Amino acid sequence: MLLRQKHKELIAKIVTVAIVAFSVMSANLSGALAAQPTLMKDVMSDLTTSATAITHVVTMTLPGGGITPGTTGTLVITWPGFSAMSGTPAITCGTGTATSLFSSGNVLTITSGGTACSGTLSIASFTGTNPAGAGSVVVTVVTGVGTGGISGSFAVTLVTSDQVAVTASIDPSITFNVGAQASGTACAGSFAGNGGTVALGTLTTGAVATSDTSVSNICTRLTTNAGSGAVVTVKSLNAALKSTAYPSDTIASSTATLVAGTSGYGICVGSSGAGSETGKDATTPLGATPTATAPFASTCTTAAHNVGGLTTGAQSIWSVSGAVQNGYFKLYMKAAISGTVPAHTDYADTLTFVATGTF
Amino acid sequence: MRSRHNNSLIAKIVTVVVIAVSVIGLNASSVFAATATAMKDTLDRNKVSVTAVNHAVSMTLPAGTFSGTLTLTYTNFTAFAGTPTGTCVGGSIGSGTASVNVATVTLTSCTAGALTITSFTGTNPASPGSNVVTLGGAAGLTGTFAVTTVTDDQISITASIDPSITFNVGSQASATACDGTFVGNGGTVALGTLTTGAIASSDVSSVAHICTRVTTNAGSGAAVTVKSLNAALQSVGTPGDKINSATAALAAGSSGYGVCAGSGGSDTGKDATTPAGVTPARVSPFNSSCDASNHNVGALTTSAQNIWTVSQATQNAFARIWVKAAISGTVPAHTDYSDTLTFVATGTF
Repeated sequence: MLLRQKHKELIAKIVTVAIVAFSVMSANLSGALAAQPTLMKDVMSDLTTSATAITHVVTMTLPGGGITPGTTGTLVITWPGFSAMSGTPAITCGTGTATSLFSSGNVLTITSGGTACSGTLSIASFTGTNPAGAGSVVVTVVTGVGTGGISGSFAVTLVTSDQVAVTASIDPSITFNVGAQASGTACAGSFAGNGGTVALGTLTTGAVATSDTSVSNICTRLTTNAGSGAVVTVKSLNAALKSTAYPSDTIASSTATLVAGTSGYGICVGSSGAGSETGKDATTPLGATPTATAPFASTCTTAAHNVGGLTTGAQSIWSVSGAVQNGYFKLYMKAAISGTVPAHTDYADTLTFVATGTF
Repeated sequence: MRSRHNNSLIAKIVTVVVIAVSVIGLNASSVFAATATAMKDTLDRNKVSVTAVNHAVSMTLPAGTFSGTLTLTYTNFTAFAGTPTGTCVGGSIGSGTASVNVATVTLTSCTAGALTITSFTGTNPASPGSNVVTLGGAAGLTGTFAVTTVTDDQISITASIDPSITFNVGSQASATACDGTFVGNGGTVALGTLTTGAIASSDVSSVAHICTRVTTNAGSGAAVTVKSLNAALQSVGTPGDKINSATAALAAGSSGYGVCAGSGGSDTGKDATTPAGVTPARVSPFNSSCDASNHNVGALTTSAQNIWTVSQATQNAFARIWVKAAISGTVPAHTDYSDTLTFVATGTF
């Protein structure tokens, strides 16, 4: 009986202690479990370890009443391992105001103003030096203690290198086409001919025989990425139209304005201008413009017969000063005779064109 | 004693340092690769598969001094041959080698500026397109450039000239210049009334002369012939009465008749052309001294005779022809002495 009574008293004491303990714990619950900010982040300009003068832009959403003068007092953000953070970056609160101050090179203390700083907290850009070690670094966000305290953390990462070098190379390149094409056919960047014959026909003292009056023209097209441009040269086998059977009978080439009845032979670069006789592709960067070279660069159309003299040595006929895509020029062959040029059916010459890029 | 040992040690250190610096200096160009600029190779042919194509390389060397080999490796080229050599600023380039698709020269102390390499040939690639050339070698020069090859790089130019000959012959008023612009055809030379006191002659007393003009591209020239209907001035009404033609220096009072090609400087000529045409050449017996006061005529016959020729092509070649006659006192009087001269121009092509 006595023993049962003692058990009852013991149980009663235990229950009492338990009730008292629970009550005490309940009373302090709000102080022990601080509220956590959300949407915390620090946008850094460079994640490379030990990198200096790295820009930080921190934002978060404060819980509850935010940083309240009477309760939380301050908000302390610590970047372990970081250094050289200094100054007083401006603080923007969703509601209210606050100020900040760095200490120890990696601790920022934010102090609310006269009213609570709540809502979205933004810290103006500041700089610091990254830690020497790679990996995840936990940034802590805590306030003073008491009802309404704030506590949280987020992480930033550091890497040995956060940069990827991108490289590429472009081989030097040059392509070229030269060929005869039918009279009146436009010379353009799409030209793909090679070689051929320009048959001037039967020459008479009454007219100048010329390309594009029932006589083929020559189209030249060049593409190169040579930084110093390229040149197209022409070389004549005979420097004249020469009779195959009677080699001493020639129509010599010279720089002149050909006229009917006067012996002459030569070539010129079409002068009608961009689009019809010369041009290039529209590219980025812009390609260089083909430029005719003297003595082949005078007025040259079906009616203007200013030819340059062909020689047995290579001469520049047109060039570009830089890279170009599908640069082209139409070339006119022209000949005229006097009454004393012997009659033959086998006057001929061979023109050799060469394109050379300077890289 | 210790001081002497220290001095020896210092001397050794200095020696080692000097040698090291020298070695580094000598090999600087090899250690530090440098890229050439303004690189190009001017081929004399771009056509695919052409053999023995000449190469002429040029480039600009960067700052530094370059010694050792310089290789040029041509993608797709073959059959390199020759002994490449060249020039450079500040140094020299020794004769090198060219084999398969690589040309190699040896630079000695070449410095910044223009460098050229020539005297080697090769066979162009079989396919058209762009072909990369790469610089290498112990001289430490690097770089790439390109040359192009095309399916065909030549244009044949052809022309023909038809054979041609044009001719004019006609009488022309006395003292009018016979020249390359003459366009007359036919006509009459009226010698007027013949007397024993004077020689009737073209360009005297308003007697017309004959102008002839030929243009031909006949390579072997042309001939102008004259043929007389009567070989004489003959009376139409009394054909037996004639003034016979004979080669002679006509004299007043002696019967004679004939023509001659003018010997004055302005009596013959031609256009100035390229190629130069040939000058008419008077043909005997019509080529003696012949003008208004010199009356050396050739005998006209009923057959064609050359009166003037050109040996090659000529443009607007011309010759003035003088008609002359004289009579003695026994030539019967008639008003109808006449003759007809036929001129023919023939080219030889």
